[in-house]
Order: sequence, then C-alpha cells, then structure tokens
Amino acid sequence: MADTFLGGDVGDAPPEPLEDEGRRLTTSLSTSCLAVLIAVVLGGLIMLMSGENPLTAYTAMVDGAFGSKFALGETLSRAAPLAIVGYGTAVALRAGLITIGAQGQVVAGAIGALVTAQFFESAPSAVAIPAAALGGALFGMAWVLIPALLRAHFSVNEILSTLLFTEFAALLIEYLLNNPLKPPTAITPQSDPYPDNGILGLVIDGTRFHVGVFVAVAIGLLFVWWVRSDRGFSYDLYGENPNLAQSLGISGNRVIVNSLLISGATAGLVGWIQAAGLLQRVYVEIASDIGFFGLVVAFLGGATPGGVLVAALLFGALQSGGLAMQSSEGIPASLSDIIQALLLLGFSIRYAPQIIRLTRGVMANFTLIGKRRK
Amino acid sequence: MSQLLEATFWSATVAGGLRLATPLIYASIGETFAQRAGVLNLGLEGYMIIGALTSLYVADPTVAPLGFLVGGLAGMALAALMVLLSIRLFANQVVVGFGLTILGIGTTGYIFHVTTDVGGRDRQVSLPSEIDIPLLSDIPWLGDAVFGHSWYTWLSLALVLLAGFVASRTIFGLEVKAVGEDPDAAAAKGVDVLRIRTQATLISGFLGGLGGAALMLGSVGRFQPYLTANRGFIALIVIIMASWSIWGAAVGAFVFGFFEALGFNLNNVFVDVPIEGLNAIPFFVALVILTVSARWARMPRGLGENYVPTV
Amino acid sequence: MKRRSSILFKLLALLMVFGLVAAACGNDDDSEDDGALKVALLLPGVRNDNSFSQAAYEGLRDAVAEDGNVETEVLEEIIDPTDSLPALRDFASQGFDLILGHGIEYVDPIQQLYDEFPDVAFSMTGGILVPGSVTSSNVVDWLYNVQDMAYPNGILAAQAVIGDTIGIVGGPEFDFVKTMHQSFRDAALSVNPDLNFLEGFAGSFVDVQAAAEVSQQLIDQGADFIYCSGDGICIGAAQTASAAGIPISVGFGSQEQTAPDVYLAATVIRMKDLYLSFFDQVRTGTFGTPDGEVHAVGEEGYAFYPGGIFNAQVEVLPVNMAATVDTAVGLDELQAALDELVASIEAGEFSIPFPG
Repeated sequence: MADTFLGGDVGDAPPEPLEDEGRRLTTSLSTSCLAVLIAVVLGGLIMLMSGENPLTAYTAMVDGAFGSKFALGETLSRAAPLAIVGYGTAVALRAGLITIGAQGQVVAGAIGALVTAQFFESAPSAVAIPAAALGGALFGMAWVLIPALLRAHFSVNEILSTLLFTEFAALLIEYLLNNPLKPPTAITPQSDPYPDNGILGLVIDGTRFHVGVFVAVAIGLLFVWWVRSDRGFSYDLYGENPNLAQSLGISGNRVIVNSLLISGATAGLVGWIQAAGLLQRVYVEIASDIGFFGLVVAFLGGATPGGVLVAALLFGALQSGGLAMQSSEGIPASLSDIIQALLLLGFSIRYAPQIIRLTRGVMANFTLIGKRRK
Repeated sequence: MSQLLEATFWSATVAGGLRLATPLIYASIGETFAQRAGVLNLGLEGYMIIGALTSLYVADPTVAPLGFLVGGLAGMALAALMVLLSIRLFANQVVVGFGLTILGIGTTGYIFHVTTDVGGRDRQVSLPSEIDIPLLSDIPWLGDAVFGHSWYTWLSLALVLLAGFVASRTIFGLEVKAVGEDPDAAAAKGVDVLRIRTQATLISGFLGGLGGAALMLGSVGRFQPYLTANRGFIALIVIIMASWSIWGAAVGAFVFGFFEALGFNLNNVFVDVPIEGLNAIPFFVALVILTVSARWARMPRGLGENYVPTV
Repeated sequence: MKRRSSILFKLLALLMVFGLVAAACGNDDDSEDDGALKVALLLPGVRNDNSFSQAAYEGLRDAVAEDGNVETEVLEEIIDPTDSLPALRDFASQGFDLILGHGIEYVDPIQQLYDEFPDVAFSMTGGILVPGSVTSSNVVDWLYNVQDMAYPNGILAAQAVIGDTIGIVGGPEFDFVKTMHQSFRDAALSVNPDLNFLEGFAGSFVDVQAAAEVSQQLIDQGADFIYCSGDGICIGAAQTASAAGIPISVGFGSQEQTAPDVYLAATVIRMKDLYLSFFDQVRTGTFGTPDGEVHAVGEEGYAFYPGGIFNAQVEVLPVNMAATVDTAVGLDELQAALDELVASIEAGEFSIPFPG
C-alpha cells in the first residue's frame, strides 16, 4: 500500500518529462519534512512564549492520539468519518468536481437516519440498522441532488451551490431539533436518544471504537474497486479531459450527477454512523467539521485510496490529540487550534503531481461550462 | 402585514442592508482580485477575523482610522502565508485556505484569551456617527436609508470605484486577468505570473482585513471569539454570484445584506414563520441569482490551479 | 518512486514511535498528593464570554479563593458533542475528585461515564430535562430557572420605558430563549398591560453584527426599550441602543462597560455557594443521592439542585446609577421595584411562574 498512496501514478505514470518531475519531487520531499518540522517548532515557540511546556504538550497530543486503548479508539472513530467523506469527495474530485457540501450532507444524513430509525423503532435490528443506513445515504443524496442537476443542466457552479445547501442544512437541523424532533422536555436543540435497536455497538469496551468504523473500511474497498472499474475510469477520464471523454461518448451530465450523488450518499452514511454509533443522539453540531476536513483529506490524499486513508488517520490523530492537549495540559482551545492549523499548513506543502493534475482536471471542467453554452 | 406597505419599513431595510453589506464589500472586492488572478482564497474568514481583532487592539488606545489601516495590514500578513505556501511552494489552495481560516480564528481567540481578564475591562471603541450629506440626507425616506451612513460605508463605495478602475483600466488589472485565465500564455508574453498572483493575494488579504476592521469599528466595537460568523464564506458566495465582476460584487454584497436585514425584519410581520426559515432567505436568493447568472458566468480558467513555472 | 510516496506514512510512523516513547516515559509529575481537592470545570464557551460560561468560571474562582485547598483545571469551548466525552473521560482518569459539567452538552457523556469512575463526583447541568438520565452516589444535577433571568428585566422595562413598545433581541430561536422572552413579556404586562412587543433573533450566539442590526431594526420599527436575552451578542445590542439613546437591560451578564450611558440592569448566575457545598460534600462523602442509590429523573431521591433568585443563585444586578438615558421613573424607583421583587421571592411570598 505504501507505494501507491501518494503518487498514485505507479500504474499511471505521467507523460511529462520524468527527469523534471523527479527533481521537483526530491526537493519537495525535503521541503515537506522541513515544513512539518517548522510547524512543530513554531507551535512549540508559541507555547513557550505563552508559558506552556511544549514538550509535555506535544507528548500529551501524541498520547491522546495513540497512547492508550481509548486514545486509539478515539483516533479511529474520528478518522473513519473523515475517510468516508474523503472517498466520496474523491470520486467527485476525480470527475472534475469540487463539492464542499459534504458538511450539509452529513447533517441531512443524520436526520434521515434518525427519522428512519424512529420509524423502524420496533423492528428487529437486522431490519432497522440497514434501513437507517439507507435512510442516511438517501438523505445525503437528496441534499446534493439539486446542486447536481443545476450543475448538469444549467452549468451552475457546484462549489457555491453545495455551500448554500450546507447553510440550508444547518438551518433545517436547527429548526427540526427546536421543533418537531425535539423531546418535549428539552430546552436546547437535541433529539430523542437514537432508538436502541438501531445502535451500532462498540467493538472494544471502554473506548468509542464502534462498529460504524468498519463502514470506512467497506467504503475504502469500494473506492479501490471504483478506481479500477471501467466506469470509474471513464469518470476519471471525464475529469481529466472532458472534451475527449465526450467525444468518446461519455455523457457529461451523467458523470456530473452520478459522481455528486455518490459523494452525497457517502456523506449521508457518515451522518448515520455519527448518530447511530458515536453519539447516539442527534445534535445541531452532529457534523462537527467533518464535511470540510473531509474535503481537505481528499485533496491532501490526492484522491487516491491510500492517500485518503493516511490523511484521514492523520487528521483523526490531530483532532483527538489536540483535544487531549487541552484536557491534560490545560492548553486553551484557541491555542490548540493554532497548533493544529500550523501542522495542517505544514502537511499541505507536498508537491504531488497527482494533486496538481487533479486541480487541473477540475478546472478544465469549468472551462467547459463556457463552451457548452453555445 | 400592514407594515409591508409602509415606506419606513423598506427604508430601514435598505439602510440595514447597506450596513450589513459594508464588510462584505471590502472582503469580496479583494477576493475578486485574487480569484481573477487564479487564486482561490478560502482563508478569507481568517483574514477578516484577524483584521477585526487587530483593528480593535490598535484603535482602542489610539484612533479608529489607524486601527482600520493596521487591521488591513494584519489581514495582509496572514495572506502572506497563502502566498508563501500556495503560490511559492505550490501547496493546494483549498487546504491552505482552510488552514488559514482555522489559524485566524485560533490566533484571535488566543490573543483575546491572554489579554482579557475575567471581569476586567475589554478593549472597546465607540461606534462612528453617521455622516449626513447635506440636502441628500434630507430626502424623505430614501435620504436616511441611502445617505445616512458611517465613513466605513462611504469608503467602501469609493473603493468600488477605484477597484473597478484598476481592474479594467490599468495594466495591472489586465495582467491579473491574464494570469488567471491562462498563466502559461501570460508567462509566454513576459508577465511574471507569480508576482501578479502574489500582489493580488496580498490585496485580498488587505481588503479582507479592512472588511473585518469595518465590521469591528463600524458596527460592533468589542471583540468576541468567532465574531465574523462565516462572513468570509458569504463573501465567497457574493463573488461567484457576481461572476467575478467588481461592480457585481458590490451589488451582490448589498443584495445579500438587504435580504439578511429583510429576514430580521420579517420576524415581526410573519410571527409564525420560524426564524430559521427567514434566515434562509438570503441564501435562497443567492441560489436563484446563481442559477440565473450561470448563463453568462465566466470563471477565471486558471482558478484554483497552482502555476509551476518551468525551470 | 517508492521513496517519495511514503512520506506521510513515515511521518505517521514517526509520530507513533514518538507516542510510544512518550507513553512509556509517561507523565509522572502530577502524582504529588497534598490533600487538595482536584476540581475540573468544563465550559461550552470561553471563560470571559460575559455570560453563562463566565458565571461558572467566576463561581469556581471565588469558591476556590474562599476554600483555599482546591486545585482546578478549566477546559473551555467544549461544545462539539464529539469532544465532550473524551474530555470528561480524560479528567476522570487523571484522578480529579469533582468534575463540573457546566452545560447540557455534558449530560449524555456523564451518563455514560459515571459508572466506570465511581470515585469521581460529577455535576451535570440540566439532566432533569433529558428523560432517562439518572443521579447516583457520584452524580448530581443542577439547573437554574431560566425565567428568573428574564422576569426581573420585564418588571424593570415596563417601568423604565418612555413609550409603549419594547424590543426583544435573542440569539438563536432555542426553546429556553423563547421561554425567557415569554417570561419577560409576562412580567412587563403584569405592570402595564398596554405594552407592545417587537422580537428579533440574531440566529446565533456569536454573530454580534447581526444582533446589532436586529436591534437597529427593532428601534427603527419603534422600540423604545431593548431587552437582550443573550450573552456576547448583547454587545451589539448595547452598542446600537447606546447610539440611539434607548435604555437596555440584559439577560445574561452586564453590558455596563459597553454602554454605560444606556445600560440599566441585568441578571447573572452565581455559582460560588453551590460549588463550596459540593467541595464539602465530596470531602465528607455525602455527595450524590441521599441514599447513595441510582435514581432517574422524576423518581423520589433524584439529586437535583435548583437555582434561582430564591437561593441567590440568580442575582439581579443593581441598577446602573450612572446611566444618563431618560427613563419614565427615576433610577432609584427602578432599584426599589427590583428590590421589592427580590425580597418577595426570598421571603417565599412570590415565585416567578414558568411561562406557558
């Protein structure tokens, strides 16, 4: 796996002059290491200036991410949703589409899963669990359907329309949890507990490592299959060269709608596992920032199977470690944010041709908007 | 319902729209330059909040105009990181943008944390008075709505004129467009792509910082964490809605502000409609405008794509 | 080709090794036991939010100053439900004696954890509103009366207002916010049944500019007095009221600094005495349900500590005598009206009704 996850170009070597690429890569390798190192040192200096001990703080961070059974469970249960969203977003990215609406689709998926689970409250778990998963996925898809159709038929920019639908989702869940889905006694927005028969149980007691984490594994395997399948190839081709793909008879509209629906469905599944596995109740903040970080994960991982996985684990570790830094070292949340942001920026410096080609594909697709109009 | 027939209702809404639009105008004009040059700056929220905090911390002991200016410089300093990481080191723009937003929110929250005592005095400025334009401000209804505003609003409108001129009538404006449309062709004609992109990004940082400063000094006057409340992302919406036009961005910012103010106002007209529904109005309007304007929208072709000069 | 592709992986491995080393070395510096009570406080906002979180922070600070033998740790901005459980668990496993979860977002995780850490005392906020939650030998529940944060403001507003229209500004349209607004209206109408009300919501607890704009719109529509039920966002309401020369009173926390000219009064939560009694109970082993058994909401024996004006956990701040804004009656009279209300509640003659 280690050989495929960044470049992803082992079997798909770029036609560009290899020497040039090679030189850039060697420099970029040292640059990225250096960048992360600088980020660590910079963060340490800031902590030193504010009277914290950077050594114990970083130790607490690593400890909180990997140092115990519980910590590992935390890292995994945070990495799983990021990976799932990352894979879904990667399908769209490879087809040349940037969707930043996963955040809203996670929220929609959580609502869908909860409503479905409440409907099947007295059914056996074997029915209730898959039904809720389906409900979550369908709601996630529904939430991206309008942006997808607008993009396909009216060339409406999907970055913006999906962002708008994220706003709609945020307002919708606030309304629902303040009104119809709110238990009568509650005075702040939250739902009833998630129905017992739909709960995704723990894999290891004393942690939050729940069964839903395996959904990420399943989605990862599906993604591997997807990038190797004929259809996946035709979608990738559309992403890299829409004109060529269309001249080969690949329907652009179908690629756009389907790839966005796939990303919506995966984000919806995340809403389901967060509601049914991790939190067992639906809150306004159910999506945390999973949607946004999922996009970052997809980009950092170069939209390749291994890359997304590693990036998701890294972010899961960063988040659980960042929290532990606060609770064991008394570091304020804002300072922990600074440290995490610096590390994110450090990791961002990574010259991977895959990523560059990815953005090139996405943008080539946009220029098509103008041409298709005539 | 009868309120809807009163001229005061609408003049108050228009005035509110302009006030809400003011920070958005600064931020979206700056971001328009960056995006025209091909840089997708998702760090705008970060530039705004750091501009807001800095302007307050400078203006509190000194004067507001100085705070305003330094607020812009603070935004520019954060944008310098965007230049370093994305333009010079080719890091993905989306990733760096999100990182800068988190960095901006974290930094301002932390500075506020260490400089404020619980129960002590927070830094604070009093809000500016409205500048009335003789004669025009006396026009019934309209005068107050359109002409009774603080100098932050007036300056933002002047800036629209200036930016419009720079974008379409100067060599720099043309170069910005060229490097955003086709960096390779621009480079072949001798334009220094990285330099132009750097300048455009710094402009967007400066104006983003000014937007945050206008928000702080013009209508809030005291800091709270997360105070910009996603206005940086709203500015992004405005730009795309306006199809990367400077004039369009100014109008778009006002349209967004107007419908936001309308949502606030309608709460007392349609008492039974949930507030979440009213707050969705500006976003719904944005979706409609977006759908309509997609007919003539032309996104800069090189947007989001890093330019790697051939060695 | 292979070398370059694995850089993230290497970093991860490096981090893991670092982690193992760190875990092995361990932090053994916090083992010193000097008999001090170790107390942790979790806050949904920042400690200086001029509101709900600040109330708990100040309460703990004052309680510690009075007690003298307490070590504390405060964790701010834990509002994401994903974060609250690991944060609480970390405190519990660090050997804290008492963990104060100051927000309804900590009820679920405390319910999941209390069993696993029988030696740690947990205080919940608002468990009584979450059906099925329990108290036990190491879990108790606290909640303030939301109506107490609004009713006194209504009494004050009705007497102070010159005119007949009062503008009410809230954050998001949450149930407890709506409840506060209703209680405010009930109080004001009990003084003057001819008053009219306008209401606006900023939509969030952080958007200060929206709160300023909402207040401006209410003033433009004719509001002669502003009541802001929120917290940090009331900065915006106070600035606007000050610019328009209209009096304002606030639900959570004073805005005297923001608008010394027009700010009249506010209500605040006072936690010190409750925390002092928790310290005492933990030391003497009397913390928790009276019989030490598990009791759910609604059962006899549920360990619930209500807060309100009646037990001085809600304080009506003194009227700002430096205010220069015009009021219908003098500031002394406003103070007298508030004093009378508080006195009648403390004497048990009156209790503020829960609206609706």
